[in-house]
Amino acid sequence: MEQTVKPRLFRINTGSCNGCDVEFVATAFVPKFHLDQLGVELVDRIEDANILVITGPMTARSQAFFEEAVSKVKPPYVVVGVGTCSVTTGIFRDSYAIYGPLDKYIDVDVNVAGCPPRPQAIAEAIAQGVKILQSKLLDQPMPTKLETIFTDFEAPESYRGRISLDAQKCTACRTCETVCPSGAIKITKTLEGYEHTIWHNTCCFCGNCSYYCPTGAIFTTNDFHTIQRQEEKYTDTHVALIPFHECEDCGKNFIPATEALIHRSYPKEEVPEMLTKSCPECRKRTTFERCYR
Amino acid sequence: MNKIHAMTEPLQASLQYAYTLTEDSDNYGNPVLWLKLEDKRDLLNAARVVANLGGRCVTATAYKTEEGHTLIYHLDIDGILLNIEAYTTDHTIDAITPLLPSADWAEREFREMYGIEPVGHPNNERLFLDESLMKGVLNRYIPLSKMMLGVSESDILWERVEKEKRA
Repeated sequence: MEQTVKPRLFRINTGSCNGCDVEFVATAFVPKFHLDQLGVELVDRIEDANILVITGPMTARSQAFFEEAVSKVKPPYVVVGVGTCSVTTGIFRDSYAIYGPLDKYIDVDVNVAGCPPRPQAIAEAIAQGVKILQSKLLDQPMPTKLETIFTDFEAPESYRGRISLDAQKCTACRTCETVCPSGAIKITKTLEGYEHTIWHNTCCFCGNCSYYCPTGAIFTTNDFHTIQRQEEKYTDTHVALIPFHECEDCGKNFIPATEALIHRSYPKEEVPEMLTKSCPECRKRTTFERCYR
Repeated sequence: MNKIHAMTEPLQASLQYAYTLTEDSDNYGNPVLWLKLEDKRDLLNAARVVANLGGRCVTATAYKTEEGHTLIYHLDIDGILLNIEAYTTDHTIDAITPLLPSADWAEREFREMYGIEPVGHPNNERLFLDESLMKGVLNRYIPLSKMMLGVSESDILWERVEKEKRA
């Protein structure tokens, strides 16, 4: 695409831990992340900038400085929120000193979740920001599809990227929901079963859920593509249904122990058949009847 | 033992109200003194003794009780730890910073996190809390039930997620 505008980039830290800022520095100065191919120039005065890269959860201390700085930018400009903190305030949510998330104070265009995001993800977000900036300048329709630049790159297997769930193994025990420090997992009861929702935009990629999951149902993938347009902020979820089964004795709905869980409890022995067919109440009754007959 | 005696003697002589002074030791056998003041006005007297002996304030801690606050000043005199416990029910305490400058930050922290005013403190600037936040943030206890069931930023955000999911 022909360069019609020179993207000039300015970074603002709104109380970030500097993790994202370090990754941003890597993105900006290591050639393999191709930021120079986009023609991006780093500026040291916010007045000259037309792309703002913002990190941090917007602490009480930084809010006034932020608003003062941002008032100097001349539109049109593009805002790229880097890191889970700026998108949803992540693990710091509901603290007395946190005023974020960022979109309360400025119109964000691109979000990139991560704690911190991979340089490749930041580079993709900035590339997307450049495109949006061009559309804004030329009054063209906004790009609706996100393009991934690093299609031939794979993060290492051990990299903790987007969380995924194997619904076949999940027993809806709520362990992951409890141990998640950033409140990214929600399990709600519906008529058909339990709905397991992972909201990627508030995940801090700590891997607690996969560590504590008794059946290995929830796991981290090495997918680092966490960029989204602002419109997708609340829709980037992984939803799975853990369906109810009907008890063969009483007909009530229940969640049976999954094969993965049974395998852990009975590694060698034969698995009692009623475990998957009867609800806990009926199993209890059957066992007692067997004992006292 | 003489070292401790050299500390306790002027300390006992300076105190005007009721107190309890107990001697203890930590896991390594180092002597530790606990001074429990029945009246917070004695705090300045005790601090003056510590200052005269060339001591310093290590740190100070506060916690909320039903009537008010319990404050513990952890002072060090030549390697011996002296812990002074005082009570306040009216959200004020006499500042010991004019006598022991090392208590500066600790007393300002009382002011910011617990809303306890160190009377006579030479520095009125905020230590680390932003001006926009009210004093005594740690006094606002949030019960777990409210945290779990009350409306928070998390609920607001998750409501949007649920709404988009149904749409």
